[in-house]
Amino acid sequence: MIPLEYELVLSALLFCIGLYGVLARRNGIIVLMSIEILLNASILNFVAFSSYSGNASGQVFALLGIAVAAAEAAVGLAVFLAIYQTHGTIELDKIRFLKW
Amino acid sequence: MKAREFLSVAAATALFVVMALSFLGGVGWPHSPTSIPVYNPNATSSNGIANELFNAFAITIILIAILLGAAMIGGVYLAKMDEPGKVGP
Repeated sequence: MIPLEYELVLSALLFCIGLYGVLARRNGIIVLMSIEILLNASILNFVAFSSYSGNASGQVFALLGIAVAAAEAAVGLAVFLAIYQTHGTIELDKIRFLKW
Repeated sequence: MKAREFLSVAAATALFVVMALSFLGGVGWPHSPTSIPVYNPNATSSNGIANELFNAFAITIILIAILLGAAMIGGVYLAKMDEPGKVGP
């Protein structure tokens, strides 16, 4: 049986990989995928604690988190599609229409 | 390696070390997982995932459904092609 600590360390590793993607990469799609990795790390934490504490609420929160991640991915991809049509790029450093 | 990537790697590594040390260091985590049923038809309290989902989180299910519907409509509105080669509002 896998100890809880290993699942928590795996979750922390996933979170740090996602954090690196958000901080270091400039491509919008990759940043969106990194945010999904961050969400998956939190979902893994929910499921791990739920299994080891015997409380089903954590797994319910995991299901709701998956739904939120799907909604975020759908809107994010549509936004990047529209940005690509207007700016010709999805490099986040070159998109300046929210700046003065 | 650029400065931005170096700082990102340093921040992520430092955060991982702190989290791993806090997880592995002397915390009395539970040792064995508990089996949680997907649905318990004889439950008096919410002890299955479906029981919990549709009893304690019924309002949340409705809100998530509204969120998914809004996301679908918003995604289609942003990505629809009015004329060839032009996407978006």
